[in-house]
Amino acid sequence: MTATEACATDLDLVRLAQAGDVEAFGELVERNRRAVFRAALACVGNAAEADDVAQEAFVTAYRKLSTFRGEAQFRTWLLSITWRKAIDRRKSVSRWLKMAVSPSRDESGEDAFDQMERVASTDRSQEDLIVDEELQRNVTRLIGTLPRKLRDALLLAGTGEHTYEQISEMLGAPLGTVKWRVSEARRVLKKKLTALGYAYE
Amino acid sequence: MDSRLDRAIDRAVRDMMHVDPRAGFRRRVQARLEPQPMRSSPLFFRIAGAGALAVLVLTVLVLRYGGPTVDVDRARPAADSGATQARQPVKPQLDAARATPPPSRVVRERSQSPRRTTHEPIPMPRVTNVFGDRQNGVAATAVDTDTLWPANAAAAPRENHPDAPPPLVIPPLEPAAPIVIPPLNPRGPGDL
Repeated sequence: MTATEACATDLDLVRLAQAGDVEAFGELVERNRRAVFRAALACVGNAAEADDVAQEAFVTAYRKLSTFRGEAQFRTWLLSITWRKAIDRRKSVSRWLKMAVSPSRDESGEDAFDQMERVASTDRSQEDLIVDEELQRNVTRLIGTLPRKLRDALLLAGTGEHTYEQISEMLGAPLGTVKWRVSEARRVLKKKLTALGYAYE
Repeated sequence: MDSRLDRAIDRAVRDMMHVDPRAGFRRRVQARLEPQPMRSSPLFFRIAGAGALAVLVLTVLVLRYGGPTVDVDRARPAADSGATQARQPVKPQLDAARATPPPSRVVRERSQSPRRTTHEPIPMPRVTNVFGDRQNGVAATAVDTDTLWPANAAAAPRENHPDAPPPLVIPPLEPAAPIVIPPLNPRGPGDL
């Protein structure tokens, strides 16, 4: 990455990429890859598929770069493309067939969100891990049972890469609706956890 | 103040979503952006060639055998030479083995009839000697045309052939009735 590219904004890099500079687009990929990947992950629930969807989103954005006029942020525009790709992947017939074959359903018969690999946090003591292990497993399982609209909003808000405005653009819902969905998802989860016997402190 | 359950939810979401793509993501994307080279798949070209050949063969077959109408007179120039040679004094030879089925067309000597296309089946002569008499020239068939078409009977001697159709008799035309034109009235409806 050159010094010029390091100081350039996303819009500058977009202009360079529109002029044919592939390296400039590569820099855009580097800057936005985490946000795009996690957005795809929130939708498809699988790291391998999310990686593929994220690549497709960047390729589509590159091909449609001439249509980007700079009225909105490049990341917001890119995340909209990513979400559409992820939704298409989630609805694809082949994916449904694969899920039908692989046993990934919980005891209630509802679609279960795939188990993610947990990132070990160094801030938590070993004792906390032991005590809350079962609680975490239950929370993760119950997140998978949420209605999709609530689950998508909750997970997108938890990536640490997306603002509520960007989530609103991705989902095509008003900002207030997005915030309501996040709080509603948390309320439903706490209600289910309480029903499982966990005390609401 | 966040409850224990809130913290558990936050932790679960963070654990699920704080994941990074595999190393080399930028390289993988740039690889997809590069134009793919044309793959020269031998199998593809073989299939394409076989398909083109099949289409060509089918086209030839349809053009050759699939026509609904037959223009009999088109074959006249080529067959006339054969018929002329066959009308020379050639004695058909009866062979023990029957010849192959007759061709689907027969050439008639129509020197004065107009060209026409027919869909009706044309009776074919039975070919007895395909190669003909060598002394009388080369001919694809040796057919006694005089027996079949008595119009040429004066040109060559006729022999009784068991399979020959009866001689064709054409009745003469009746004289036409005279045309009577009534006389005109010299004083017409009005003098001009």
